[in-house]
This record gives sequence, C-alpha cells and structure tokens, in this order.
Amino acid sequence: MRQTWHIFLKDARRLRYEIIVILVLTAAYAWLQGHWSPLSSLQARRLNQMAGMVRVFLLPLAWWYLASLAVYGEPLPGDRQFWVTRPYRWTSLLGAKLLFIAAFVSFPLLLADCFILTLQGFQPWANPGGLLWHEVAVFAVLLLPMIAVACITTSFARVVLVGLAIIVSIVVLESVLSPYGSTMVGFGVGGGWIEGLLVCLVLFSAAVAIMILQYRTRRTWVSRMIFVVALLLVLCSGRLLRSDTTYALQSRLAHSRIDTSSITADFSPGSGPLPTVSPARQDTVRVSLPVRLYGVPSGTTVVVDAMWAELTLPNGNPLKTLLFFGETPPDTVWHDALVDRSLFERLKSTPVRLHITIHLTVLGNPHTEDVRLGGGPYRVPGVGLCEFDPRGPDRTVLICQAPFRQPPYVLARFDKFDKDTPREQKQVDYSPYPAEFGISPISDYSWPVPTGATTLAFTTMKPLAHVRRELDIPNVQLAEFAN
Amino acid sequence: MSVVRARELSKSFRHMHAVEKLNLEIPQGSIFALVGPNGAGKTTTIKTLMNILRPSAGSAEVLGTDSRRLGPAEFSQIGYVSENQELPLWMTVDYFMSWLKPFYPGWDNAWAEELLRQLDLPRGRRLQELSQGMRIKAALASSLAYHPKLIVLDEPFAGLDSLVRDELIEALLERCAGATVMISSHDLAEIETFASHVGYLDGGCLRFSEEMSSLAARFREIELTFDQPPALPSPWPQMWLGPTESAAVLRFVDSQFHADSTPEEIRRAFPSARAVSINPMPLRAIFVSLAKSTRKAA
Repeated sequence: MRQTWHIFLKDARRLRYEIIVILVLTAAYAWLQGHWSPLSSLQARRLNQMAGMVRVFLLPLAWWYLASLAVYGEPLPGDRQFWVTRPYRWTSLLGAKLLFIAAFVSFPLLLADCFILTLQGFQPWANPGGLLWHEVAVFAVLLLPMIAVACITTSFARVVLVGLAIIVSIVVLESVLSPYGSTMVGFGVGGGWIEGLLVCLVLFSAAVAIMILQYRTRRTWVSRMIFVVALLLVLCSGRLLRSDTTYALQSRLAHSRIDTSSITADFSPGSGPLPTVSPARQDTVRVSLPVRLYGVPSGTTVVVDAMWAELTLPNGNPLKTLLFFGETPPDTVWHDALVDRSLFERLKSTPVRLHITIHLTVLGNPHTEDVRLGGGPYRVPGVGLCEFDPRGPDRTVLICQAPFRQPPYVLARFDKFDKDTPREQKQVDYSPYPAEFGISPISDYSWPVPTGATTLAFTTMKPLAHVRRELDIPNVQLAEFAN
Repeated sequence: MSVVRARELSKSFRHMHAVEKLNLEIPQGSIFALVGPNGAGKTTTIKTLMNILRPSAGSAEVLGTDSRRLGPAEFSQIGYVSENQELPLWMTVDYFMSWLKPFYPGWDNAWAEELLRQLDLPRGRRLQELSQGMRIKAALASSLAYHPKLIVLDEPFAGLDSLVRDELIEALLERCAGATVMISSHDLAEIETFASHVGYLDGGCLRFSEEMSSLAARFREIELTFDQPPALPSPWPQMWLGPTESAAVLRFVDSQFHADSTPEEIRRAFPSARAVSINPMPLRAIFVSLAKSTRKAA
C-alpha cells in the first residue's frame, strides 16, 4: 500500500496541471448539466448543446488523456523503460493508476453527480445504490477500457489513432454485416439492456484482462489481440446474440419474485372473429394467430415481450420463422405476423406445423397517479419529474426525468388520442440494475401528448418474472387466419 | 558461486536469432565484460537476463532466481543502467533520487549524497535538461546508492567523452567493491583496465568466456621473418588466426599460446624462419583479430 501511495503522489505531482484542467472541466460539466432543461426554448437548447458537448465529447476525451498520461508515467510496451528493472510490485503500480483515476476522475464525477441531482430537484442520497452503481459503471465500463488502451500504447497520439481505427472498424463492419441484418430478431420491448450489459461485460473483462496481463507480464501482443477480439465482439454483439439466449439471460439475471408455474399458453381458434386491422403491404399477408394466456396470478398482469413461430411442413422440413409484432397488451388474444405473399400462396391450403415460443413478463405492484396536463413541472411518484414542452401549435411533448434510470414499466393513458398519437403509451426497461449506463446521472424520456388531451394517468408496475412458454400446433391452415 | 548462469539461452525476434544457445556463468565478485561487434546480441542477452525480454528457449538464473521470475526482491539487489534507457525526464536529479529511495530497503543516504557529489550532478536540474553523459551518471548514481549485489551496465560509455568515462569507471570501481558487475561495451581499451572476466559474443553465439588473465595469456601476435617468401603449412592450423603475408614477413595471432610448446610448434611449421617474434596483445587487438577471423569464416 505504501508503494501504491508513493506512486500515486508522484503521478499527482507530475500531472498537477492536467488534474486542474480536469477538475475545471468537471465543474463546468456539473454546472451545465445541473442547469440542463428538457424544454425546447432557445436558451435551453443552447445550454443543452453545451452540456452535451462537454458530457459526450470533452469530458471523456479529457479523462482518456489523463488516464493515458498516468499510465505513461510507467509505460508498458517496449523494452527501454527504466522502471522495469526497479523493484516495483505490479499490484502496487496498477493500484496506483486505479487510485489516481478514482481520485481525479471518479470522485469529482461523484461530486458533480450529487450537484447535478440537487440542481435538478432530486435528493442525491435518496438512492445510494443507484448513485454507487452509476459511479461503478462509469469506472468499470468507460474508465477501465481507457486505462487498458493506454496499457497497450505508448503515446496519446497512438490512442487517437486507435480511436480512429475503432471508428473506421465500426463503419467497415456495419457495411459488411448490414446485408445479413441483426439476429436479434423479434426482440421485444424492455430487453435492450441485455445487449448493453453484454457489451459492458466484454469491455470490462477485456480491460481487466489487459491490465493484469500488461502489469504482470507486459505481454503487449497478447494484450493487443485481446483488445481486437473484444472490439470485434462489441461491434458484432447485436448480431451474435440470439433472441432465445437473450431472453434466457433476462430470466436468469432478473430473479423471479413470483410463482409463475400456473401460467399457460393455449391456441384458441374459437376466440371470435379475426380482429380488424390495417391491411398489410401488397407483397405480404398478415396472419393473426389466436393465442390465449391462462393462469395469470391474481394481482398481476402479463405482457408478451416477443413471440415467434417456427413453420414446418408435416414431414418436418423447416420453412420459415414467423415473427410476431413486438410487445402486445395483456388482454390481446390475436397475435400478428407478416408472411411473404409468395410463401403464403404456396402454403395457404397446405396444413403446416407451428412451434410457437412466447416470452412473457409478469408485472405487479401497480400504482396509478393522475396528472392534469399543462404547466409543470410535476413530481410523479415512481415516474420522476415531468414537464410539458409545447413545441408547436398542435405538438406538445411531456418530458420526464428520473435519477439514474427510467422506471421499469410506465404506462401513460391520456384521456384523448389523435391520428398520430395513441391513447396509451409505454416506457419499458426491464433492467434489474439500479442505474443505467451513462455519464449523466439523470435519465430522461418523453411522451407525445395527443391534441386536446387534458388529463393523464400514469400507471407504474414492477416486473416480477420473465417466463417462456412453448406451444405446438400440429395442423394449421394459414388461410384460415389470413387477415 | 555464480551470480548469473545461462543455459542454452536463446532469443529470437520472428525469424531473426539474436541470441543462440548461450551458456554463461558469471562468478560472484567478478567484473564481467561482455564484448562483441555491433549486432552481436549483447543488449538482447542482457535484456533477457534482466527479464525485460522473455527467452525464446533455454533458461537463465540471476541471483539464484529464474530470470523470468525476477521481481521486486531481486531488483532491489540489482542495479541496471543502459545507454538507451528511458528515464523519467520530468524529474530533477534530487527528486529522482528521493523518488527511488523508498523502493530500496538498503538505500544509503550518505552514499547517495556522496555519489551525487562525486559525479558532479546538478541536483536541481531536470533530467531532460542534462546531456546524455550526465543522464547516465544520474542513472548510475541511482543504481549504486543501495549497494546492489549485481550491477548490470549495458553500453554505459557509448557516446561519452573520455573525462565522463573516466569518472564513471572511477565511481564504479570505488563504489562496487564486493559487487558483481556485468558490463557490455565497445570500449575495449577501457574495459581492459578493470574487467576480471570477459565473454566474446558474435552473431548471437558466445565464442568464449574466461578470465582476462587467461585470455591475455593465450593470445599472442606472432611475427616471422624469412629470407624469401615462405611456404605456408597446409592445412593452416585453426588456432592461428588472420595470417597476413608481406614480402618476407608473416604475421598471425595464436589463440592457444603456451610458452612451453608454441615456440617449438612454430619452428616445426616454419623451419626456414630467420627470426620469430612473440608479442602479448592488448584486448582491442585480440578482438579485432577475432572479429576478422569470424567474418572471414562466415
């Protein structure tokens, strides 16, 4: 520990001017972000632009610069460094660099977050878990990778080159992979956090591996290979994740808080006439399948996050996977999918076999708050601080802010609707963690307000379990369900 | 007892073999000079021994520890100075010394003060403001102040003027009594004055490693004078290096000289020689002849 402290003090002395710049920049960020306004007035827009520039560009760049300089005090690649033949303990050296970043980046950021939360009308200490998680996430997923990159480079100019290489890789990979689309097929609302979590885990694991490998053995080529593999994994994460795996992860990571064994899904052809829906495009046919859910525990409600059906001929030959539209309301019986017209024409009178997979979320603890529209800001329990922003003669947006993350499930029900704005709107994020990843401690989300609406009821619910149900339908003629 | 011991030590960079199957022992208390032409592999050998580079094959022990496992405990007893070492240039000489002090349990304040004084180092100046020679002196002072058991110097005299060189050697000799010193250098004339052992490295291979006195004893420059150009023995003995012939004079270097037997062997090989002159050689001349003969053989 003494050696860690000794190295830390040396770095603090060497980089004192850079530290002052970082502190000033963090203070500027705290002031700008603290005065950030969700409204669209000219003054607010200017302030928000400046806050955004500092938060998204200047501050991370300055952190990266400082982290790099701290690491370059005892550079790792190469064979000419004086310190490698001195009695440094690698744990002390790495500890000193981490302590340096914690002291001059994370701690000022913690203070800035408290300041921002206070200015924005929230109690910083009301959610200590969220505050801690937020700081730890920034440290683990943003600052550690910055340190890791410095561990495999010898100058900040090279770091900039690495940054440019990453941007070029993203552009090239996107153009190469775009024809193949994403494998995150049929991924429903609220589960996007899993991809984010996996990206964070890859970044964190790679950063830790690189730091340990470099400080312990200085095997730079191996570390650089780890960096490249991690980068590829991050860039391709959306394409590598299968929906099934993703939902399985969601079920495992978000622990079930209710017994869901009573919930069953059944094919219900006698569920009344086909619903009236807008027609599909000419090259597709809309197929509506009646699937009903039974045994939902009392006091809870269920939403279908995703549903797909594997279509096979009676002889077992696979034909296609039909994707049903994203999240559906709890009382929906009919589930819609679009089928290529050519395929439909070929199969419409042939019996086919359907294997349906449904991913559900059980929601509970409902709480409803009524809000009278106009003015603001309103403090809505469980939702956040909400304010109306008139953006035009017939366009108003309701913007809500919450500390660290948006609520898991919010349903906004307006008293009116218009042709562009539905009566019911949802914000869903099933992440079980107390804060979402981001530099700002404030999460904001918005709702378009229907013209003429005067009242709004917010219903918040908590996800209690994520479950998967499967259904086999041996003989179906798609023509019976074409809509 | 050996302070440094290498067994079949090899280091390759992709397809280039910098050091090949090097076997080396450096006895405790010796001043071992590792010499050889440019690109011979001296620096690579030292960096591999110091765990700066990982060996490709073979192994080495330094102070009884596998070179790949050298850590803080061993480095607190090793002083390593290299001509191309990257020092923390932002530090002043004084801060550099005080910065390093807590790393070494055996740091001797009084000695450190004396070293700074003796090497005439400007305490308040930053290392980046110093000349190359002054920086090496600062590195040397910081590497001697804790009484290291092993001092490893990689080309410490390169690019230094003779005055600074003398100061460094003087400091080294005065301050390192009892320590083992390993030094690589091109400056053979200087090394000759203080090295007790010498190893000759060429093309990544250690050609020999022995005590200076035995090396000096076994190398002789032989000059033979004839009345008319002589007939050379065939085959030419391998231990006689670099024969040069001009008119009635033949010169070569005997690398296996024995006072008892060599004069007789020469007389047998050259019965028509009118005069035989056998002269001891300075280290520099020995290595020049070795380098030439190796190059010719290649």
